[in-house]
Amino acid sequence: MIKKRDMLIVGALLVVAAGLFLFSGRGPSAPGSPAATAPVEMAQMAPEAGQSPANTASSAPLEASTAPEEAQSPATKTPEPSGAAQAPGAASPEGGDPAAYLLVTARGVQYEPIPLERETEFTLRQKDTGAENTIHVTQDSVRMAFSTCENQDCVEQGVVSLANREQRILRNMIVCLPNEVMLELITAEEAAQVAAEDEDAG
Amino acid sequence: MKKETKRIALSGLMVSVMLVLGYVESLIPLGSAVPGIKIGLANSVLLYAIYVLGAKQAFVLMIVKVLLSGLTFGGVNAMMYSLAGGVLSMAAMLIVRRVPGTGILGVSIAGAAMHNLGQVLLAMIVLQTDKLLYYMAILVLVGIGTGFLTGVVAHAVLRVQGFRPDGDQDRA
Repeated sequence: MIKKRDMLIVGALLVVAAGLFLFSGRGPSAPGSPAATAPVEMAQMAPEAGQSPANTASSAPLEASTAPEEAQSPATKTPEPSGAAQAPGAASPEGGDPAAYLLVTARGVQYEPIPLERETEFTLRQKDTGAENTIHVTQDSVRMAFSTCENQDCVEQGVVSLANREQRILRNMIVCLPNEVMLELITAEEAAQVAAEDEDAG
Repeated sequence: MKKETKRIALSGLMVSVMLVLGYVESLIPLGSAVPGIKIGLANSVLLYAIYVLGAKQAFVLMIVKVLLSGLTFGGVNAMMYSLAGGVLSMAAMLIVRRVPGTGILGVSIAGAAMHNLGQVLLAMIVLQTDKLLYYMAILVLVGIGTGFLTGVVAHAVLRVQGFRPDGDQDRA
């Protein structure tokens, strides 16, 4: 039933797949040019920073929500080990650097990596389409908790953690195609790399 | 005239079979293992259509199937992805069929692999990323497997009906 030439087709496809595997290992990841007009906003839903206005600036979507915390800490003079606004990969004297970062790409725009310092939730809103994604993060994992999309594939893709991200088919990614949202769980080193690439591009 | 009537009836029948298979497939939870993966049972009907009704009619059936299943189950977004996969898959199947010495399994495997490739390609264009190449490679490999399965099914049906799917130039 199967013919010699059919095996040729299979062989050709295997070569294609092998080529794709090779290319997936390297090659520059084209960072989307951060367009300030992107109608995407992101808000942290943590109780201590819930009511702060969401920042639409694409470079640092979380600066607005972390600012109130830092304003409180000087008054009590307690050391704040988790400086959320610090540059990715920067050494902290307390050694409290987050091990994992969340990299969000929405509508072709890649945002600055977000350090995962505690369990919290982020909500990504696209004002023009009404699309909404809620991302649940812990210190070492990322999960799409809620999405307005029709197929819910992103929610079903489950948890990406530092432990399982090499074993997953989609590796460190969670993709929501209808809302054009891509989440990646990256390590501190990768976050530093992303920051370096951004500087090269900008 | 009578032949034309038969052809129309057969086409309608095939579209409905494809829609039912598409629905049955959505009940099989393969997506948890590899996101977005399907066996592509409906593709065995298209394969059958290529051999029995010819290339043009099979292409039309593919378009009708994509439109109808998009409207009933998937929505506009899913429709775009199945259209991208469907067109690429159909093109691949028709090309491979013209290669002398290939059989229905080669046609089926090429179609399934290209269907998956087309869908991920569209996803990469939509997301403007090249990070899905690894996923694309996996889906091409998966397509070889699922294409084999649907090819065996179409081959068996054609054989039972007296067609010769192993011939170089088989026709209705």
